[in-house]
Amino acid sequence: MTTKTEMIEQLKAEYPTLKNGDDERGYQDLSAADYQATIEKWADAKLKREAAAEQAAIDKAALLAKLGMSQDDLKTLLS
Amino acid sequence: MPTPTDLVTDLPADFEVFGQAVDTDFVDLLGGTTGQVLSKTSATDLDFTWVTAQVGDITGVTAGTGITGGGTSGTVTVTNDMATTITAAGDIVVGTGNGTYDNLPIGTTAQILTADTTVSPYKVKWASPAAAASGMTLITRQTFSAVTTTTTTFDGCFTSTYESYLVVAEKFFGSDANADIQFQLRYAGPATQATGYYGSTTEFGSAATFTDQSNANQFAMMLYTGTTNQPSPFNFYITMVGNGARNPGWNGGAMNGGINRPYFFGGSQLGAAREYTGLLFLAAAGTVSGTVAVYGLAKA
Repeated sequence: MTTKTEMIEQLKAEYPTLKNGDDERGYQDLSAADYQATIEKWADAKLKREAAAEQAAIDKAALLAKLGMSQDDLKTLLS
Repeated sequence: MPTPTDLVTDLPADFEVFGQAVDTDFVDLLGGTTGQVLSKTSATDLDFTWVTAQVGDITGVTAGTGITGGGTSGTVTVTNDMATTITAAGDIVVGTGNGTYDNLPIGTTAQILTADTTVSPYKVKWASPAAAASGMTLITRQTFSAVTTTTTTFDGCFTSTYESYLVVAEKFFGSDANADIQFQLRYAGPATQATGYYGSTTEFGSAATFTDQSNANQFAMMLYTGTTNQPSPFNFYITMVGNGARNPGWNGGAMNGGINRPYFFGGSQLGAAREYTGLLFLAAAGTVSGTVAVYGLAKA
């Protein structure tokens, strides 16, 4: 499980700078405070999504076990 | 021939000489036929030729309608009065009555000639064409690349001119393929409404995935962004914006280019009734790029 600090470091490496704007008006780099706030917001969103995906996989495996079915059985059932 | 002081001694002979001289000098006057007239043959004295007068020669020119000048002698000049009525480039000659006309100066760029029986004496006028009948008017169309949000790009697109708007993303994708594509409403300040979004988004894959949104900080249209080569177009109608404090509502659809799944969504802003004047686009994580147009739908 990735920690928030690790996720922030990953995002900062991927996005060393951030900007707003459009082709007509031009683009401006985010201030240091806005940059940090945006990276933290993105980190929270990505961690939340990762956690939801992991929980969904756990719930799905538990349900299949309860039903005595395999992943292949499930695919056959839904096909 | 004897001179005036000569002594005439042989009158018959002198007359004969005189007659022969007259006959020689005026020989051109001999001949001719009825109706012929004498015409000078050369500049030499008494050098004439009998010629037939040309029948039908013009004896006078009278100026009719649209023509000025004329005359009955000498060199006659006639002028096209319609042509001289035109005094500047773009002038046109317009009938003002039976056999009368006048100069109508050119209008302004893009004006068209329009019939108007109340305009005297022309009955026509230059006028700007009425706006083409259309149920939809492009308000703004903007392209943006790798931005955290579109911030002020779509500020001011909702006004009292229209009641409903169509938002069309011709192309839209994010840097993080697994992030939601979202929007938030904007209002005067300028400020972003960051709470109170309600509604749902349904993704149709092998099964429908229903995502409820209750008092969210933004509204999610898609649960995944597209990619550069597989962008995710979307469009939605939004109403109750741009004209007094109200709670807007919207509904629309999207197509995720990355995972090839359609979305249908609808929602409303129940957090705060405001006069919302714009919106911004963003992703839950990563930057967004694309081209989005906003159209106003005519009320009548």
